[in-house]
Amino acid sequence: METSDVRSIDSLRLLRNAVGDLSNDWTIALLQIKSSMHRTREHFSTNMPAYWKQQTRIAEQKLAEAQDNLSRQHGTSASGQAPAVTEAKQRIQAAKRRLTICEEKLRLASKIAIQFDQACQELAGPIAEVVGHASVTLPNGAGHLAILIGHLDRYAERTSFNNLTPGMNRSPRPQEEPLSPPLDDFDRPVSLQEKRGVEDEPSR
Amino acid sequence: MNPLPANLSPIIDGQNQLRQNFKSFAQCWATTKEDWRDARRDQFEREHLQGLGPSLARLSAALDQWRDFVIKSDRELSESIAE
Repeated sequence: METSDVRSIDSLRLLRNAVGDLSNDWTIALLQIKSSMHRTREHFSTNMPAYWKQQTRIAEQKLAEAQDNLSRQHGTSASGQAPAVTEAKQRIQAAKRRLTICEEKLRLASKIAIQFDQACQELAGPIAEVVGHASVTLPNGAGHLAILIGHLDRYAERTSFNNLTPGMNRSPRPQEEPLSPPLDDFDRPVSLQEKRGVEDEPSR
Repeated sequence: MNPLPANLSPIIDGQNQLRQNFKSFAQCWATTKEDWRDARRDQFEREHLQGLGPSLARLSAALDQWRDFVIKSDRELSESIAE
């Protein structure tokens, strides 16, 4: 017959609370992480491409303006305003360089948005594992502890009453004495009677 | 003007929170083990607690990798690199 060696039921109560707290705290932390991942996805799939699309448009406008400026300089430089023409050509070169950069960044933003989705998929497994612990493993553990605590409480109550002699007050169990009730039926669900604190007839 | 980088603070906070919660819980479990010394305890540990640490370690490593990717990508997409 399997017996239990528990020196403090309160210690188990603390553990049951700690298991419940861990489950709740992890659930909150995981929600925060998932929510932040969602915002980061938006950052790479929407915000970054939008930024570089806008910069590309601005660069195209600047190039068009620089080209217009050069045309105007050609029209007015017949009398020889070489420095102005040179400056206009330099502006065109700078605008072209900027446009090339923006187009490259826009292509890179699309590529990174796809890579980001892959990075999130790699994270999905490890997240699901911890979510499983927070939402299933730990609550189940807390449930098992609750059943065990129920058994030990009833056992402690029963043995305290059995030790009473007429005229004596109930004394607390000595600290060092472990509770050792048989726990063969530990995994048995707690019956309604037990939940209400009504003792079943002793079967052992 | 530079595009704003992704805000990774909530991820870092969440990751620290997971670790801190687990650390506190591990301390509680170590205390309980002193008062609960039977086969049932070992079974409880095996079924409900043993997987927590390794899963958390895997998630932490994956999050570190994910964060590195985000930081690198933000750097590549910033103005300063290409200019």
